[in-house]
Amino acid sequence: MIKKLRICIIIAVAACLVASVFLMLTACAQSEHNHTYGEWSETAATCETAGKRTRVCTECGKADIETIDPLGHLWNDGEVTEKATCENSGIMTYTCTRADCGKTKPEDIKPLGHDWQEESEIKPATCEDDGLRSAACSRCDAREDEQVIPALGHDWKIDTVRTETCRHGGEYLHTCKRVGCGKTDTVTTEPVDHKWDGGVTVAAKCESEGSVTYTCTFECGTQKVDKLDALGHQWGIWKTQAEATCTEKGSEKRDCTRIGCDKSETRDVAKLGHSFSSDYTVDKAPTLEEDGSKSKHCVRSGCNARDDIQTIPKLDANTKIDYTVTIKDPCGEQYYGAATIGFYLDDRLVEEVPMSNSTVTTVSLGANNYTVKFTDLTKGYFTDKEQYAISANNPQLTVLLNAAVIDGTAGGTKYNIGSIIYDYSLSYYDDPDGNLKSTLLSEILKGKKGIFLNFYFKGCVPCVNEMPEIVSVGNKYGDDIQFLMVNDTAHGNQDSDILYFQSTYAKNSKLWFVNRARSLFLYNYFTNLIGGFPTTILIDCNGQVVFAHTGTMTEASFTSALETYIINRYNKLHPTAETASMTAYCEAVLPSRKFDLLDF
Amino acid sequence: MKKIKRLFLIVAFAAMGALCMTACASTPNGDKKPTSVTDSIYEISVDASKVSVDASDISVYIYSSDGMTELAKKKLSQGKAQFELDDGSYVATLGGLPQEVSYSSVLLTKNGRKAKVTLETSKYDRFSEEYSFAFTIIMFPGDRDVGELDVQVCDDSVCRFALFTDGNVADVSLNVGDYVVKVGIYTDDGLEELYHENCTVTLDRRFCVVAL
Repeated sequence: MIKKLRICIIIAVAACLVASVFLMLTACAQSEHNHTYGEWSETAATCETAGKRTRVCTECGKADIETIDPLGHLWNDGEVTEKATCENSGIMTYTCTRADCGKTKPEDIKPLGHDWQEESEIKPATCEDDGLRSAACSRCDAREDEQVIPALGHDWKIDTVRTETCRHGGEYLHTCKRVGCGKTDTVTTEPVDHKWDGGVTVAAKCESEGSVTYTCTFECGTQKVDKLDALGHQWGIWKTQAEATCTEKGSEKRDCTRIGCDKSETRDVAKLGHSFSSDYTVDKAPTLEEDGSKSKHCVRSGCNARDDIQTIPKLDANTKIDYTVTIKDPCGEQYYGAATIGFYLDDRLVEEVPMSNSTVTTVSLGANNYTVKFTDLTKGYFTDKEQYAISANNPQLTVLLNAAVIDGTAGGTKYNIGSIIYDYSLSYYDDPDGNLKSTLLSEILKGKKGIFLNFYFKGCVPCVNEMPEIVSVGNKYGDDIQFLMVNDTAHGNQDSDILYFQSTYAKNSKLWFVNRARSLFLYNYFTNLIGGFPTTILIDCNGQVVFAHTGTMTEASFTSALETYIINRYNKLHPTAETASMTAYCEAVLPSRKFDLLDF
Repeated sequence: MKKIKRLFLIVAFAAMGALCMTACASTPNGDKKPTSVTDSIYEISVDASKVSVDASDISVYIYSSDGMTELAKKKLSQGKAQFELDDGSYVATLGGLPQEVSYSSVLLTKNGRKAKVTLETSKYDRFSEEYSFAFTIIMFPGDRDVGELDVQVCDDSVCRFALFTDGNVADVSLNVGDYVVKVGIYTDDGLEELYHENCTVTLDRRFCVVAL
């Protein structure tokens, strides 16, 4: 580093010395004799040669000479002395415009190149010869991209001299329509096959052939005949003329369905023979006095043939048969209560059984004639006779119970479907003016066909939602059915709440609102059937609880329930001439079906 | 250099210690090993003798105490299902049973870890041709004496009532279907409403948890 610095210093000093010397020399040169020059004399410059100016010092004679640069040529715009072509170059000559010069300078002009135009036809194609097409230069005769134009072919106009038939060939004159051609050619063809017409048909029938006769339309007189096979009969289905039975053969017939054919045929159907059941049928039930008989019956309809006829010994006490007792409610419908059935023989109790399987009880006893008595019937039900007869000859007994409102206090009773209600005193409001009235349930049923109970409470939104429906059916059925609204007092409802509910939702209706005090007990009797609020319970004319539903109902469902469970049941027990005849008529028409008045 | 190595070792050991402590603290509920075999076992047994159902097809579901989160599910084995759960309260219910079978959901608590559910035949209303099943209202937590309270469950067409029994549960019979009911809790005179909430009722979710 220090070494480099030394070198730099040395160079700088040397440069200063040189510069000083130079300046010094210059200053010395300028201090020589001042010349006094004369006039300038000039030699003019030309386009290519330089000129000069000279003056001489009058004292020392030194000459001062200045050089004048050459002027250069002043070329004009030039003139085409030889034109350029597509392939050859031309010449442009420039001339100097300075006076006394006139020098010229030639320059080449580049070849123009070909200016190719679209393809043009240099030799048109003819019917039989090819043509030629190529692109041409617009400036010269040059051509490129030569293509062959295929020969056009003749454009024949065909004149018929004679068409071909089955007897001779055809002849046709061909003349070329193309302008400038005019060539002709005569073409002949071979004779053709006969050309048949549509033929004349003689239709085939079920049992006879038909034919089609064709004639050649070239009028050569030739004909050909195609035969049509007989169609055969188009038989319909076999229809029974006489049914075959176990002992007699039957017959069937079928007809040809083809139009115009009246043929038919018949065939026998073999007799069926008997088809005896594998099970025996009792032809005559044995009794205590006489033997009976059984046999295997032929199962075919209308055949009374019997096979394997056997005697059934007359009954005695050792023979066990099934005695069946059916209990029904007063309307002939299911009995939901209880019963004990006693079978007596000469006032001696032989068998006592509780009712089983809802309303049907079957007991196997020795063949005999028994007396049946019923005990332990559900409260409110009773039989119309003290005892009933059931015999070995007829071991089926159906008993229709009677029912009536129970005279007494329900106490801790809980009602279910089928229960008969105890009589009960009601206090109720039939309008919101707060006038309390009273009656008995039994009194209500003396004048009405049934009772509608609806359990509700103030604050129950679904109960409120249902009220318009209840008011509507109440107005419609209120003359036949008593509508009682029973409050759920457990939720703090007082009589004021009951009257509020009545005035708000059932004013001027046919609904009776049971007061708080009488609602309480009535509610307790029905708690088994009250799953929530609202609950609707129906009681029929006998005081039987026949229907219960928890949840809102529509007017349509109320109507259906009232008709089914109150009106219809009442009419069954109290038939009028009209209702009885209508029921009987329908049951006669469709004996397998039992009709309700709802069906009308 | 020595100092740097020393410093490095100190930092490494401190990080490892922190990681261990974090792992130990983050064990999720239910996976922690119990301190004893019986302390965290909750058990549901099912009595299916009254109905025609194959007990092995029955599943038990465990929900959180608010009834919102399903926590576990198990099929019965020999009529029982056991769950290892943290101390706490849970709702146990069954799943997959048809409308002909009714049962009550139960509340399991720290002090009541075992419960028995009895399957019964659903009630059938022959008039409406509808089945009904037990819908259980579970009071949680049971700070009040639930015996004083009246439970009212209403949908659009019916209001039903129930009472709380042991275990803070009340059963009310509802019709089979999918719908929303309003559950109301009242003083026993029915005059003061203490609580009400809407609950969704379905055949597979037959309970609702309410809290006062």
